[in-house]
Amino acid sequence: MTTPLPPTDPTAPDAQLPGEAELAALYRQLPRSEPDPALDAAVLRAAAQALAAGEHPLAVERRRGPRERGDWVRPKDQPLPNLDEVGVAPRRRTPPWLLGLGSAASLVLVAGLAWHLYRQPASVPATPASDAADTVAAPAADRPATAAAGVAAAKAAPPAETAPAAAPMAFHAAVEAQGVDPAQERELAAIRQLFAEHHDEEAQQRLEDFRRQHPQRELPEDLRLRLRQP
Amino acid sequence: MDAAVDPDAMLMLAYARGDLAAFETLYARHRGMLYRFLLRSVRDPQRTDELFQETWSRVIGARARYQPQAKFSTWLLQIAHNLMIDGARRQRPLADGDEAEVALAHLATPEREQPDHALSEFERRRHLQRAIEQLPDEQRTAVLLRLEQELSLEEIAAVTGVGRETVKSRLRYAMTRLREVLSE
Repeated sequence: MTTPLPPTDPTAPDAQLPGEAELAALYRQLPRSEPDPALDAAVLRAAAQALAAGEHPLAVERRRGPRERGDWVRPKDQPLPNLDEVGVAPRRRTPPWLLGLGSAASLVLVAGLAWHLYRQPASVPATPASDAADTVAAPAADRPATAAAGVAAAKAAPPAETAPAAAPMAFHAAVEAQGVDPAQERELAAIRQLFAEHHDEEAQQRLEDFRRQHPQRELPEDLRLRLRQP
Repeated sequence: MDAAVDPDAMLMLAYARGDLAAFETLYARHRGMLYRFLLRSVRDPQRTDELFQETWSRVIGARARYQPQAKFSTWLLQIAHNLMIDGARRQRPLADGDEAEVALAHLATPEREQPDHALSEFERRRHLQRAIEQLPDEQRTAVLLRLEQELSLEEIAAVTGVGRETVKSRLRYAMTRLREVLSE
């Protein structure tokens, strides 16, 4: 069984330790040093400034030398410095009219580019090179003299057909905007490539298949001329 | 401790509400005891100034979240003690014996003492000062808090972060050592 201790008041003086009274008396005779007036002024000024600005000036003032490892820098509850005081220009708001103008200009640019790309494959037959290629549409055995011209046309044609490949994203966007299936366009491009490489039989077969699968699709002029009539 | 019975806590709360005069009163009441506690603990006047200023800086910075759960003086000394511990961890060397003696020699000597009697009193005080300086850090802190601040064992325990019996043991060892030095 333990005897409960009487409750103790933390602020009540304890019973003195042996010899404490003598030491305390001698200690009280020691010189009573005080902080310098400059130190007093610094603390009081810091207290006043903290109230005035809600800041913590001692956190800056007390450092006299370079920062040492483990140095306390500033309390975490410090507010961020005013940007105007430190010379940082605030970010300007963009005028609303500028946003509207930029959006309209972008729309016009995209629409124009799409229209241009969409019209470009249809204009290929109108070029002289495709006129020459048209002459290859006849069987090579029937018209051997035109073979060289056909090869030249085949070499000349790809730049016109590869134009969409140079800007695939814009091309597909334009095609979709016009309601044309990109898969069909790819198939037609492949057929053109086969004709250009003189795989005429395969090209004809795929062109006829394409025609059967998509009877509503209007063939481009160059391929329509190559299609064998039934 | 209830703030209603601690006038220092009331002053601190008043300062937190914007009363600068309350802080000036609070500062006047504690500036001397805090400065002496720091000076006799670290024995380096320059370091004492830094710690003194930093302690009050912490008080000022904590004014908005201050809650009087203990005596203001206990809280103030706790801040100072923690800053001293942080400084010791940074391995900053304390002033050597000569430097400390020079620093303590600057302290004013009471003029009321007679020259013949003053010599022995001076010697006793000097012995006491040197004996306190030579105590281990924990014992020196406990003695200073006891003799300078007249804190209770519980209050010293709160400031230093150890148990009451540990404080009592440190004080016993320290005072025994001081009495031995004075009796030599």
